[in-house]
Amino acid sequence: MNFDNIKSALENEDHAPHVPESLAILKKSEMPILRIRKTMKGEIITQLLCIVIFFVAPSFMKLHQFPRAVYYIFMFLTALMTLGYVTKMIWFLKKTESVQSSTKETILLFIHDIQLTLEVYKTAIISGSILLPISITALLLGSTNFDENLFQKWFLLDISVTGIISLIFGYLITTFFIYIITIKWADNLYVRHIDKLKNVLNSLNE
Amino acid sequence: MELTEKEFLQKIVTHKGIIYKVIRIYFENHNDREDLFQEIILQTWKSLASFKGNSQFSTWLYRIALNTAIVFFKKEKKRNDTIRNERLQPISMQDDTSEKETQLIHFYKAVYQLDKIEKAIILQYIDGLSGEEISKNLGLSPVNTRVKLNRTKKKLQDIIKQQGYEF
Repeated sequence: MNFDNIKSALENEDHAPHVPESLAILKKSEMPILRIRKTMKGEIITQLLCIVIFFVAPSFMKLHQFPRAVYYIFMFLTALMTLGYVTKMIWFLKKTESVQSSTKETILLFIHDIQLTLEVYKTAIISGSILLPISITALLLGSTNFDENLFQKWFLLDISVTGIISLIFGYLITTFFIYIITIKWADNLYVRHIDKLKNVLNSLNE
Repeated sequence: MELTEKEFLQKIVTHKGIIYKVIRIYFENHNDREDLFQEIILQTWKSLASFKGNSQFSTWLYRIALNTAIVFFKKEKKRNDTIRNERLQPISMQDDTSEKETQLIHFYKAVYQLDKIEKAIILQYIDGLSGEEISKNLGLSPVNTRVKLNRTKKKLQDIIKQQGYEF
């Protein structure tokens, strides 16, 4: 096979697309890592908004003192975890999106960054979601429309053994579903990109 | 390297042939090529600050273009699957097609059936890069690069033969 002919034919071809006069008119990136960044940016904004809404919500409701305190403590912990995740995301977004290393290094870096971020994301969402039901219950049972001790009894497990067992099972089932939904959702959003990169890496290593 | 946007785009105009070779070998479809072309410009601009000038701009751009093409996934999978499922048909040529043009048509037809890494290897080989340069660009050992290069050349030849052509 004569590659010299191919080379000269390739060099004689000149149908390069038009170079735009401004970078602003370029289409948005289609790289997997940049698509993930885009999704994450949206999530960061949504989560920050949720934190604000959750902190403001009790102001519009009449709550007893104890459930109000529990609500804020648990919301604070949830917010702290979310902010930790958001900080990690911002770090991730700012990190150099380098494609100038060798191909193998570039792919490995992409896979590493995506996987690391994904793990932090899953942990934060799952931990936050486990705490959230307590805040929600405080908001619902702590209303001044109910007896002042109703939430306190529930929170201090001052309920029947059957009630405690139901509570544990209810909590475990809720946690399990939150876990499954989070994993499925994250996999759907991010893992397919990792798989594509892994396929390229495999073909590099074969 | 510090360049204004205008200076950068001017540099891209000067070197757009390098980008064209990469997009041409990676995508058959014009719109996909256009998308990849834009993506390469975008990635080059983003990486510009870390270009220290240790190599020539064209060499650096070539590497950025190849890496971008390799991690760029748009619409590609479906199209490749379609190609794999198609039976290879001999290509019919018009009488006035020159020998070189014919070779190029067969070459492209065959190259679109290679995977992303094989495309990168064959393009660098045709562009006259040494085994050492190819292995450095891809991050592979020289032995692995040599094995892959030979395998890719053989695969390319086989595909072209299946097209009912030989050169």
